[in-house]
Amino acid sequence: MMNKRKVIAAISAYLLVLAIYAAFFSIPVTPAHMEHPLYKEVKRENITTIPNAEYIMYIRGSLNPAILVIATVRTPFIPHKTYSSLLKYTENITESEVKKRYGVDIDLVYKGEKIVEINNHTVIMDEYDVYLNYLTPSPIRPKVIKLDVGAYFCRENFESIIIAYAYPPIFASDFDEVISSIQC
Amino acid sequence: MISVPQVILASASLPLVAYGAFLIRDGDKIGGVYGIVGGIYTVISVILIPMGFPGFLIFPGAMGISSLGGFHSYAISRKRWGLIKGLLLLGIAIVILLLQLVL
Repeated sequence: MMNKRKVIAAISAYLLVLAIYAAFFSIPVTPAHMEHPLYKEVKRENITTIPNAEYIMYIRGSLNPAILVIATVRTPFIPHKTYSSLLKYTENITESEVKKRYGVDIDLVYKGEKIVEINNHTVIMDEYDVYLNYLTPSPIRPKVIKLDVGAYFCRENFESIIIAYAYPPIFASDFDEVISSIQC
Repeated sequence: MISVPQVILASASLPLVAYGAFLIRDGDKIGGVYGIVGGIYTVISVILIPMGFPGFLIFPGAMGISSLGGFHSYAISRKRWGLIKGLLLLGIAIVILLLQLVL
C-alpha cells in the first residue's frame, strides 16, 4: 500500500528542487564583453529568460566589416557543440549579419578546430570558411571570410560564454587581440 | 570566491536532504539514505564545478541516486512504491539530461 504522506513529500521535495533550478537558470547574466578601440558595440539583446541569455554584437566598420557576437548564458555547463540551440542561435545571428552587411548569400565550409586561450579559459573553436556569393564580383571585396565559433564556461560567474567571430582576411591579425580582450 | 548563483544551485540539496530525513523518520531508511546522499552529491558537485566538474550532471545525478534508492527499497521489500519511484526519477533524470543537451 502506497503511503500518501510519502508521495506528497516526494512530489513537494522534487518540485522544490525543480523550482530552485529554475531560479538558478533565470538569474540575470552579467553579459561578457570585449574592449578594442576599433570594434564598436552595435546591438545588445536578450535571447531567452530561462535560461537567462543575452548577446552583444560588435562591428569593426569597413567596406568589409568584422563581426563579433558574444552571448552569455546562465548555465552550469558548456553548451553542447552539436546540439545546443543557443550556440546555433548565436552562429545564426552572426551569419545573418554577414549576409546583411556584405549584401550576399553565403555558403559555410567547416575547416576544423583550433584551441584558443581566453583569460585562463581554454576554448575549442570551430573554424569555417564563409564563401560570399556576389551577384557581381568586385575586386575590392573578399571571396571568402572566416567564421570561428566556440564556447566556454565562465566559472567565476557560473555562466557560459558563446563566441562567434566573422572576419575578412584584412582583419585576421585582430584575432588574438580581440579574443583575449573578452571578459566574463 | 562563492557566487550567488552557486549558492542558489547548491541550495537544491536542501529539499533532498529534508526529504531523506523525512523518509528515515518514517521508517524507510534505505530511501532516506539515498535521498541524503543525493543532497550531499549536489553540494559537492556544485563546489567542484569551478574545478571542472561537468555541471550538466548535477540534477540528473541527484535524481539518479534517488532512483537507485527506489530500486534498492524494491529489491529488499518488494513494495511497488519503490519501483515506481525508481522508474519515475530515472525517467526524469534522462529527460533533464537530454533537455540540457539541447539548451
